[in-house]
Parts: sequence; structure tokens; C-alpha cells
Amino acid sequence: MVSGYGKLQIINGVDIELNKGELVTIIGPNGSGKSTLVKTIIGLVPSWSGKIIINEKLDITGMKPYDIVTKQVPINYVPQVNNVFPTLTIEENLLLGALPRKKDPKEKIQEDMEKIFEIFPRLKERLSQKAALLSGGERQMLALGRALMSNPDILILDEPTAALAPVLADEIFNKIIELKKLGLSILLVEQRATRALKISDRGYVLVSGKVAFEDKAENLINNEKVGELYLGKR
Amino acid sequence: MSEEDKEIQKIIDELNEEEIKEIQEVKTEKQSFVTDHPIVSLVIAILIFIPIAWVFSVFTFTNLLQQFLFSVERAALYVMVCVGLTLTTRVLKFANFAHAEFLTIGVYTGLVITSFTNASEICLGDFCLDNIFLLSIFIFIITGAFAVLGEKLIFGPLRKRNATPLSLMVASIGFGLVIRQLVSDFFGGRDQKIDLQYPPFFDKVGSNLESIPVLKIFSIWFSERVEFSIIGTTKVIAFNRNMVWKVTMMIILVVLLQLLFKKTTLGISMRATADDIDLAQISGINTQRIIDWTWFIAGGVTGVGALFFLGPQAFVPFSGFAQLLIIFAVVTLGGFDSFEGTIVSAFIISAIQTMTILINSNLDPDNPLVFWSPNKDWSLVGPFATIIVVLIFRPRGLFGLVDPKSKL
Repeated sequence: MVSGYGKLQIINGVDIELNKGELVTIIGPNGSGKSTLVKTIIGLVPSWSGKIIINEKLDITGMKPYDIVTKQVPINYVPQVNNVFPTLTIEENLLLGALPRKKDPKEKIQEDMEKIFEIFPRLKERLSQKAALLSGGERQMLALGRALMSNPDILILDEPTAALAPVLADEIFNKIIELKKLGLSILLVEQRATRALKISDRGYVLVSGKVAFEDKAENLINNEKVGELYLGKR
Repeated sequence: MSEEDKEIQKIIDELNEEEIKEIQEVKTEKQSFVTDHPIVSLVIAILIFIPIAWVFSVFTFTNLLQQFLFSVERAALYVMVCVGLTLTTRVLKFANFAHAEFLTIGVYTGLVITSFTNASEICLGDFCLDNIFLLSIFIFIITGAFAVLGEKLIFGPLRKRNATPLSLMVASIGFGLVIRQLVSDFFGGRDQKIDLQYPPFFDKVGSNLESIPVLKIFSIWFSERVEFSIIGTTKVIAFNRNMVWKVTMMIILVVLLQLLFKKTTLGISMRATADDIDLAQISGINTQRIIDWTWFIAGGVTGVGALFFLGPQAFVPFSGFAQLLIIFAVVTLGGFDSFEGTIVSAFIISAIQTMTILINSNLDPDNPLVFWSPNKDWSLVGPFATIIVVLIFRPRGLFGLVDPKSKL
């Protein structure tokens, strides 16, 4: 896959794969194109060449994000920042998350909302509060909840723990493990590389828009070169 | 990796985190100022007006009440023609100067319906096409459709080519100019007027209500009377059906809009699109459809407002444009993108305007302290002076949702 903004090419031929039920992490230094890569997948950044294929046959290359999420492609995406609607209440945020499933009856959506409250009990307490009033951690939970409301099989998370205190980051990582146990396939982009790789099945190391390393997660943690460069180990 | 490199990496990471934190803090700032409830805002605005009006120049109770009623009437008209601009500004992030033409189109649609068709014969039961209710609905649809046409012909294509808010604004000035000229060529510069008509059963209801002492006050909604005497005095004040219905229509529109924004998926999607258009798309909102609806509703409400604002007075094709300045004044004071703010600021501006006129006309021209001429029109100076003062202390306006840097 090749993509970029305007004339600036940021992704220079990346080939990644996410299998069913897998948790895959993309790590890499700042400016390596991690966010651009996932934005290209979801259609926010136009892809210049290459293909994005879901379930072996569904080609979503070049589709607009709105088309991707509404045309029964079970995929959703949580951006790094600006991932909730600040002037909307928590309930409204979650209801909007369910928009792609227009055909589902209201009871089903209510049921799913209850499921999300089981995973994130704190959201239920503050249902009618505006999202802008949430703390950083709660905001990330709401963002995850919003994405989950669309009932996705594939979830793309762009640095869900950025700007969070370590304790909160741990909480988010635990939630991600929970989600994986529910059978979701998760593509995770992370700065906290070691922490993320520990819970992942596989990992990719992105450098200057190219995959520098690709391996099982534990192998990446133990890989000396990767460790030296990106995990702060010697 | 050496210790030094690790330190550097750590600093870079921290900087990154700080940056993100800052972004999120700005987001938190995007809070509404005092209240979320337009009705509460309305009450606050009225409470502000009364003592000020008392202190300045309005010395008798009758006079105060009279000026208060005029002021509320004008405020209601401002609310109706301004909320549309607030809506488009908030969702589309540019100042639409063609908004003035929504007024023109609205009022001329009313003119065409009432004077070029047999409007009084096309009826739905007792509601005929020329009465304010059916007329409002038709004006809403036609002005709304006109606004969508503007989106399809001009603003949509421009946005697809990544036009900046500035170029969109200039395009809207041009669009407005063309429409104004077309209307002017078609209808000529003659003074026109639309008499507000009511269903025929109103008079009957009105006279029935008048005979019941408790409900007498409600007869003002139905029967056509120009003056009202205050209980216990011989003083009369001008207070009529048109004034009451202007305010009632405003309240109906505000309540309907409020229901739309809070209770319907369309309204919530609109607010979501205004908040973050990319995230709205990811959430499965057809943002183009939402933008079309935004134009339709903004245009429609403004058109109906224009029927009440411009219709009963003499209007010409340039009348809409003539109100543009005060419309922008109201919207700016309110914060440019806040529904509640627009309502409050409409009342504040209207009150100040009333007071400016009063002070100006009540002052003794021989008084050495009076340095301005009482014969000149100062009615816009008061409001604008207030706006400047407010903006100095609160650059994002009274209820502004967004920090001024990212506003336009």
C-alpha cells in the first residue's frame, strides 16, 4: 500500500495482515507513518496504490469512511485524538456509534449498549454528561464504546493510551484484552511498544513508511535490534 | 542505545504527550457558557432588560411595558432570522453572507403566494394558503430548497475542492449579490407589503374568550385589536395580534429546533457533524446529507422569520441585505455558533436598540452634555458599541462554543 497527504508520500509500500481474532500491534518512532497507515485503511487518507481487502473478498480501497462503515463492512476505527463528539452527551455519542446498523431494532441496540456498560461501567454513571467533561481515560473508554456500538469484527485503535497516566493506560490495555477475548480482531497502533507487544499476537515495526520488522510479538520484544531502536533496551 | 539517546527519546515522548493533552484541553474548553436551555436564556435576557430600561429614560410603568413589548417583539424577529445563520456557521464553519438573501427569498415567496395566486381560496379546512400558518410552511419549504440549491451549485463544489472559509465567504457574498439582483430585476424596486392573515375562526374564538373574565387575556391571540388598557388605569398600550404571533412563532420554532437537536437522530447527527466531520463519517453519518438538511432548515427558518420581519413593513429586494449587519451583530455577540447564545443576544441587542432610540429621542438637545444630534438614527450604534465591549472581554462571544482561533 502506498499513500500520503497531497504530494507528500508517507506510506511507501506497506503490506500488513490481520487474521481473525488476532491482536496485531504496529509500533514505530514518531513520524513513521503509523497513524497515516490506519487512516488510509479506513479511508480518511486516499490510498495511491495497493488494495485494502476484508474477509478475503471485500475490496474497500478508495471508499469513503462513511461508505466503509455503512456498507456492512464490520470495521471501526478509534482515532488518536478528537475521538469523541465533545458537545454531545455520552448517550448520544454511543447512539451515533450504532448508526451503521440501521437495520437492527432499537431493543438490540439498547442491549448492546448495556453490554458496553458492562465493559466500561464508568460510562453508565455519566450517561447524560457532555463528552467534553470526561477525563482522558474516560474519553478513551467512550471512544472505544462508540466504536464497539457498530458491532465490528475488526477494530482499529490509534494510540488509545496516548496522553494517559500509566495506571489508566494499564486499564485501557486490560480492556483491549477483554475485547480480544470477545472475538474481535484488533489492529493496535502504539507508542508504549513493550506494553502493547506483551498483549499482542504479532507485531510490525514501521520505519519511514516501511515495515522494518515483522514477527510474533514475543520475538519482537526479544529481537535485539528492535529492542535497541524502539523499546529502549540495550 | 546510549543513556543520552534514551533521555532524548523520553523527552520526545513527553513532548508528544503534552501536545496531545493540550489538544484535549482545548476540546474541553468547547463548553457552552452558562446554560443549555434556550428558555432559561430567554428569561435571563428579559430579567437583564427590565432594570436597565427602568434606569434609563423610561420613567412610567406604561411606557416601560410598552417599550418592553416592542423590544420583545423585535427580539423575536431577530431570533427567527438569526438562528439559521448560527446553524450554518456551526456546521459549515464559514460566515454565509448570502444569508440575507434567505430573507429576501422568504418574503418574496410570501408575496408571490399571497398576491399572484388565489391564496385565500386554496384552503385546508379553515386554514387557507394566505394565512400565516400555511404560508409559513410553504415559505419554509421553498426557502429551504433555495438554500439547498446554493449548496449544490456553489458551496458543495467549493468545499470538495478544499475551499478555505474565506473563499467560501467571498463566494457567498457573490451568490447573494446575484440573487439580490435577480429578485430586483424580476419584481422591480417597488415597495411591497404582506398583510398577516389569520384563519377566519380566530375572530369567533377571540370574542368567545373575551366574554370569559379569566381567559380574557388569551383573546389577544385571536381577535384583532390594536390597543389594550392596563387594568385599573386609563392608559392604553399598543399590543396586537401580530406582535403576539411573532413571539409565539419564534417560540414554536425554537422549541421545534430544540427537539430536533436533542431528540432526533438527524439533529444529533447535525451536532456531531458540527463537532467533528471526520469522526462523523467514521461513525456512519452521511455528512453530505446532514449538510443538505442543515441548509434546508437554516433557509426555511430564516424564510419564515422574514415573513414576519419584513412582510408587515414595506419591503424591497434590498431589505434582506439591509438587515445583514444587525443579523451578524446578533450572531457575533452570541458566539457565532451557539443556538442559545443567539437567542440571548437577540434579546440583549433588541433591548439596547430600544434604549438607544429612547435615550436619543428623550434627550433635551439644548443640554450641553448631549454631543450627538437627537434627530439622527443612532439605533445601530448602541448595539455595536456593546458588542465591541463584550468582545474585548470575551472574544468568543457570550456563548461561543469554539475558541476564536479555530472559529473562522
